Amino acid sequence: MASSYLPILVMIGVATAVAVAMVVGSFLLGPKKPNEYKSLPYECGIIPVGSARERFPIKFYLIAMLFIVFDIETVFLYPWAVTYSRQHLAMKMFYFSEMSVFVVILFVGYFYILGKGALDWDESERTPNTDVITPEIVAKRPKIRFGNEGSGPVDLSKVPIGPRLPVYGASSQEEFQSYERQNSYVPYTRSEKLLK
Amino acid sequence: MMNTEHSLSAILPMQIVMITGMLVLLLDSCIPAWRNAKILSPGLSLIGVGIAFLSSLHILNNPPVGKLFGGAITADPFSQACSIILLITAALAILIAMTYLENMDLNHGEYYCLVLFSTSGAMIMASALDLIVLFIAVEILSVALYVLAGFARTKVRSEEAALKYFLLGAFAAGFLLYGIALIYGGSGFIGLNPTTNLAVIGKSLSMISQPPAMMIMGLGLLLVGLGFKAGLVPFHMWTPDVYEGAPTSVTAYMAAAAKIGAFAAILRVLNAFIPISGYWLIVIEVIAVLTMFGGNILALTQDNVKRMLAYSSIAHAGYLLVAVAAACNSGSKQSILQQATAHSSAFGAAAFYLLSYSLTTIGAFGVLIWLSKRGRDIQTLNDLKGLARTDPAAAYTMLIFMLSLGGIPPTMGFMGKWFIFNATMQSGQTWLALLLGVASIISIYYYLHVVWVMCFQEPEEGTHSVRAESANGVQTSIYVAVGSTLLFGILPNLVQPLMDAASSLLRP
Repeated sequence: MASSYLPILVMIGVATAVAVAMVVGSFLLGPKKPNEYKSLPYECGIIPVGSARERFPIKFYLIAMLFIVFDIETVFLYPWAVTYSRQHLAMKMFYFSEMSVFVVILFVGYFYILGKGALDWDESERTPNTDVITPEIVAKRPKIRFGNEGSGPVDLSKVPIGPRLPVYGASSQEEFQSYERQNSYVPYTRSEKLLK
Repeated sequence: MMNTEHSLSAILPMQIVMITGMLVLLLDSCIPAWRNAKILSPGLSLIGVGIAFLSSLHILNNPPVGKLFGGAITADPFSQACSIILLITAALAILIAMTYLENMDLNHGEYYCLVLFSTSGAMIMASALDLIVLFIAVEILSVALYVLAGFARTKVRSEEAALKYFLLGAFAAGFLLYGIALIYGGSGFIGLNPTTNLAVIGKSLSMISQPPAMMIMGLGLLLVGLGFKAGLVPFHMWTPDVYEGAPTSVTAYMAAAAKIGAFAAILRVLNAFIPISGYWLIVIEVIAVLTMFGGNILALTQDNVKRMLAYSSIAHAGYLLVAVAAACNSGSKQSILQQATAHSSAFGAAAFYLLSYSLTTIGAFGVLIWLSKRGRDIQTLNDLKGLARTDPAAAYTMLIFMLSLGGIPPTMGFMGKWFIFNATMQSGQTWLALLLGVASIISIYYYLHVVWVMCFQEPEEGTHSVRAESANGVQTSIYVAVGSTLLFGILPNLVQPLMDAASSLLRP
């Protein structure tokens, strides 16, 4: 009985050995060219020290949510596949149709998020990345944007044409820049600031 | 598997509603929302609801035989009657939403798809025979409603409503599921393979004298979960805040649809447990009294009409629970025949009352939407001052809805209360019937207070109510609601087929 646990012990031993060998090996053999970025404590690419009131794009939240939806689908597919393989043909057709319905419903959701632009990481197609806003760009904008419900459709004729002011409410380039300085989400500038 | 097609055709109404919801979703992602949400999405939704209505009528007239999905779902006349009431509610809610969303700049097509999804959930609630299916149906209904409550995303009150509803609803879902688990376990003690099927449990309960304690505990927890959805008194705390914060069109839909679904489920669950009603009937009676009086007394002091209607919806849940108590009374004083008569007339009364309540509530909220100016909600009694002079049509429709909610003839609300009163007398619970009468008398004060404000107060300077622009949707909905409130109030026999269908649910 106890001997049946031997393979597990062996596996734990091998896993530990490989992990230790990799860390120690790269420590001994690897080239060492430290710079400030590399010697920072590692935290998934985020600057480890700074304000806790960090602003980060809401897209991460959206992506996490979508990931869960499609991840659950995969989890659901596994038990289905196991039982599917054990059925006879007539049942297989039934099982297959059931799963098809599920996948079709999922695809409806997929086309919805695709159509809504939830998967466009940058909005450059809808709002081209230029410094000057032209009447053509304004004409392309949707009248109703998420976030201004209740205030009525945007009067596109009143959107200022000229230098780009990405933040709503900023009336001049200077005001926008001071806003940017206070609340900027620009990790590179921040990290450079930190290192200096 | 041989009867899969048979089973699928029996749940056609729900499928149609769900598929329409998905089509609306796809339509919305193809065409920018602000362009199509005015006509296309609601139009498609209404067509879907209409087809589902017809197929529900068809199933009502040709009920399928045999077990569907291994007995997990039923398409009996009771479920179809509830579905029909739900589909009428959904159609009216879509019509009033057209105007409201336009006025509040919330014109996103997702609204209609969420309404359709939650309608399908409520329809499954009415048809579920298995408690697990019931749980899933509750979740389909609720998740869509949580999102709808927070649909005005930029308004803090709406966000608050959504979060409150979501957190408390998730908590209640826990109770529901725990109750189902205990019933599942308890069913093992009464000579069954553990099961959550209500038909099976009901049948074997009628053959034993002493039910296992586990099952009674489970039923109690189940009632907590369903009572939360229906807004019964110890579990009603969320109702006023959510109803006030949510966009008015959502409140109207939620007040009607969630309550229909919850009461369909409560009626079906408790019907299965009638053989052991000695253990829980007193609980239902006490909750009914608490709900009627709690809702009505708390409504007395409200000066926000949405909040007042929220408390009034709690009171109406109490009246409905009186019908439930009447249906489930199996006291020893009465003969089997008397009990059966009371049972069927209570079920019919509950169906009639659900229809009258949802028509009237949607109509009353509809009037608020009718008056809402662009970007501004009408919520308080002050906004309604002198309405009879500034906008007589709105004032008099509101008058009829208030009379119906208060239970004054010749409206549907009166007939509904009369039927419930009658069924309660038949079942021998005279004291409950009398308390129902007292509670309705209390409620008349605050309903007529609205009428008094509208008709006998001077309109305030500068608050002249202006009709919503492009109010065709809400106008249609209000006229339909007023028409049927009066018509069915005078000729309740027209609803008789629906009541017969509902009362055909037999005691186990």
